[in-house]
Amino acid sequence: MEKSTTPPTTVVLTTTAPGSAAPTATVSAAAVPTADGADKGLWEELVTSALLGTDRRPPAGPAGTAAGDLPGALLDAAALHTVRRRAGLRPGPAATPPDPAPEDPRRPLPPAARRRLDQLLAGRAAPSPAGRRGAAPDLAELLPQWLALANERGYKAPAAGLPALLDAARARTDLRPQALRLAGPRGLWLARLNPEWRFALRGAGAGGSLPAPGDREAVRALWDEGLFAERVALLAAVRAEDPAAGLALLASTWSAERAEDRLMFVDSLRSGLSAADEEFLEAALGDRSRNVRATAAELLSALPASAFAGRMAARAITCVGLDRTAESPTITVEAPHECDTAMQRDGLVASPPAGRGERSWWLGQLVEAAPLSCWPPRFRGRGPEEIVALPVADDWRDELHAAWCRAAVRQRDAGWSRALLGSPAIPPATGPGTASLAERAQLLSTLPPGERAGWVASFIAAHGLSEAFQLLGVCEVPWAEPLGGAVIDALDIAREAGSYPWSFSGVMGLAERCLAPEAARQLESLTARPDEAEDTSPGAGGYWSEAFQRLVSTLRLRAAMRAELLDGEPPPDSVGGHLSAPPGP
Amino acid sequence: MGVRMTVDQVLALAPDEASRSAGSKLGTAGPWSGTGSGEGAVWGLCRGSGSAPYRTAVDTTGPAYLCDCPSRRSPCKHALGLLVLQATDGTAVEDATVPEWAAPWLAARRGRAESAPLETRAGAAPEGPADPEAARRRAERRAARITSGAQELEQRLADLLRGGLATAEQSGYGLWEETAARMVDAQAPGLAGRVRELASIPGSGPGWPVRLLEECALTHLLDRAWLAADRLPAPFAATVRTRVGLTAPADGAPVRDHWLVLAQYDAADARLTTRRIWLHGTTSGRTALLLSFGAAGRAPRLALPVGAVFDGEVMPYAGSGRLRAEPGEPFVPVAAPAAAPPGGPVGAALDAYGRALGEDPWLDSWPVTLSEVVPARAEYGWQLADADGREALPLTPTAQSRPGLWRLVALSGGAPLTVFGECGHRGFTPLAAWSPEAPGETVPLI
Repeated sequence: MEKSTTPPTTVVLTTTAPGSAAPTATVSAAAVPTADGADKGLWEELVTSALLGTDRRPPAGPAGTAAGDLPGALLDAAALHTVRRRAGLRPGPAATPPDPAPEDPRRPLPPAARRRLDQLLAGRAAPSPAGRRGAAPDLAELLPQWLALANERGYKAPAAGLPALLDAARARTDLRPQALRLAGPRGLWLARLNPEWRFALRGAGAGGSLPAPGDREAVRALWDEGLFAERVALLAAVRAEDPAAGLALLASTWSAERAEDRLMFVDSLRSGLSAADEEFLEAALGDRSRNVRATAAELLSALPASAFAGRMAARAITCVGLDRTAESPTITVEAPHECDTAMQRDGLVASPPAGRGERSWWLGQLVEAAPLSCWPPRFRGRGPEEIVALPVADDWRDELHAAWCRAAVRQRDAGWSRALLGSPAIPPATGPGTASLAERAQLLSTLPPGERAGWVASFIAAHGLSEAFQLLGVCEVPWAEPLGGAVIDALDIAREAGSYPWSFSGVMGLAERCLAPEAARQLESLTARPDEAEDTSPGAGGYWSEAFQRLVSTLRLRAAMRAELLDGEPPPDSVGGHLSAPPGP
Repeated sequence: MGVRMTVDQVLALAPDEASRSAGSKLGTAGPWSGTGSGEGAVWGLCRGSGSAPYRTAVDTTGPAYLCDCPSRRSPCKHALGLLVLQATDGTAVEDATVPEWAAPWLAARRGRAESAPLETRAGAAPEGPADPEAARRRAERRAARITSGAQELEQRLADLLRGGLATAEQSGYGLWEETAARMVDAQAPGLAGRVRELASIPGSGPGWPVRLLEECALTHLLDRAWLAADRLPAPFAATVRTRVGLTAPADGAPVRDHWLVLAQYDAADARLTTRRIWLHGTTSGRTALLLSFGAAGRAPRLALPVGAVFDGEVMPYAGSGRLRAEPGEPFVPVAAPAAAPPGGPVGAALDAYGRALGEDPWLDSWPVTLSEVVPARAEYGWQLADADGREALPLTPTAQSRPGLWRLVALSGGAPLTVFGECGHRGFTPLAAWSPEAPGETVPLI
């Protein structure tokens, strides 16, 4: 019945004109003649007349009308036709609906948690006006925590909330992994229908579109034919599931890969690294690409039992030892005189960056790559603390300690990290191993969480908050005591000292996200607006009160969020329901 | 005590996006003190930037709001924040006695609420105005003005048709703007609105001459109907008067029911914000449209949260299928089941629109519920198709570009669901949906 002359965009509905001979005819907004029938023809006639004007083209239909009322007659006829057409509209043909979304067996969110998600997503869309932050919590900052806990608890996103969730993930890449996990299979199903959400289908976020790591054929097919990003994601997924299978996959095509691809691939061995990877990495030390060689060497140095580590240890202990001539035990350093091809093959970079001497550059690399376990025998059975405490001859101390710091981080060695961090009470600038807060933060990350929190708490108690930001960033959330108390005390001290709260906005923001919700009780007394003291900055008291209010209300909100997500579940007895609680049954 | 609203429902009361955001931020315990609820009200003190906290109270039966903040918005962010707090934190607002500062206001509200229905009923009764003769003369004068306006508009349309619609594209907006102003002078806002509509059609995309002819013809039909109103059957004459812009009182017999709020949305132009609220009577099966107006940039007074059920009466207006109605007081939220209205296939929806045109040929759409339909993408865009895969209704172009479309698609997941919306000659505009997994939950699509 339909003619192809009708543009697809104007096909709206079909109509059965009452009394018309044609059972169905395509009615389109454009005046396209599509069907027979007197009614249709009359309408075309009317439209033509109306377009050109009744003066030039009198309508043929209404005969016997006075010339003066031709427009009226035309409009009468058009009105009749319009109403009749509208009244006779019939549905059009149905298109094939999209394939149904896959089942999502996860449980739905409790009602209160659903409303909270809507609120958090709405808060993201309407951020608070720039400038002063006021006393209300920053909802957008709480979204990552909420998503993580909801995922841990095995919930699925409400269907109607998926568009807002995908929009949030589109705008904030840091939200993507958790948001897409919550969105689940229906989220991916939806993303396929809207090009704006294409990001969900590619890259590491496309968990749903990668074959299961156990599906050997599919893995093989994608590995052989996939795009680079897909292959990186695939390798990471397989490696996470079964490190040996990941290595085998990589080894099967290794020699044919391009240099820049090889670098990414070898780097992905970092996860699940074990002695089983040594042989492959040892071979990669002979790679054509220098970056691949350097990465392989770095990974090997994290395997203290490897042959590589043995070679490095042999080199390092010839350079560093005890001075036999000194009265008290002293470390003496004899930096290498050359960087030979064997050393370069093991990843040492021969030419130093501008401003550094060649020999100290080589020494640093050697000590960094040598297994830390080689040092106690070298220093007659001394432990890390004693070794770090030994004086070092000829100003080599900083160089040597810095290299040990890098080695401790690389080898995740808590004993050496502890020794190199030293006592938190020592002023940062005179610390034993390193003055750099970034390196300290890295050393801290190798310690068990409780010890880490304790160290940072003592640091804050001794030095205040001004240098604590980076260190706080590596502590586990929520902050365990005594860390939470130390931060609150330090904020209180800062307030009494009369400074403005925005000098501490970084720590405040962290505290809002990381303090245990129970800390709200301790903070309550600080929200009061204090009397203005003489020596404080004008108005500071009010701003502090506001900042503490926001802190308290954010903590309350987090407690409420957590309670909503744990709704109806037996309380997990091990960790008291913290945000890091294990997933429910 | 009134039923506690959900956060969604509270935020639906917000007059604008800024208030919604500010209100949801104030919905935490931090800034609040002295909160309590009782006697159908909730109150609290909200610490703001000033030294004294704002005193905020909400009568949840209205709802009506009291706050001594300087905001001109109603409800203000404090009232919204208080309701959000009550909705989210079960322990933050506990039962208490009404504080002194809120008691007089609440007592006055209660007094009014009890007398209000009587007043309304009295107004509905055939009780003449103070000077019936003067009122009759005023009405006659206005009718005469409208008549001359309608005649002038007829002349304009005749001129346009004589010269051809093709000229409308060149003559542009100015000519129509002037005609619209003349219709406002003639006290015929309905005609003025139609004229502005006509002005926007040339240049509205392919096929505009056909749309322009259709709308010109319907405007002509309205002119003619007005000029012959005294010879029309009474219900049709009432429709014509309403379409021209004469407001009649809501004098229909009051209908008491549990009303499910299906949708609430605003349409704003430079002069006026019009809010439409669709209700479904869960017992009577009746659909009612509440209209509320706000001056430019101001939110309309009436706000009802989608998905809530209210117990109360609505008084229908005459004309246009008696869809439009006025809510009586009190209009009280109740905890009642809120299932979707019964619906039918897409063909039945178009039948309903066609039947409604018999009473009001100027109807652009008619409220319908579709059951067992699936959103599907055709060549021209999205449609709602019967689950048997035969017939489908296209979505209107505006509905195609709204974010609500994706909520609808997501809720469906490719499976049939129930959708309420407006069905008309431009297609279907979905306004609310219910999925089979949660049939009691109204998901707003606008």
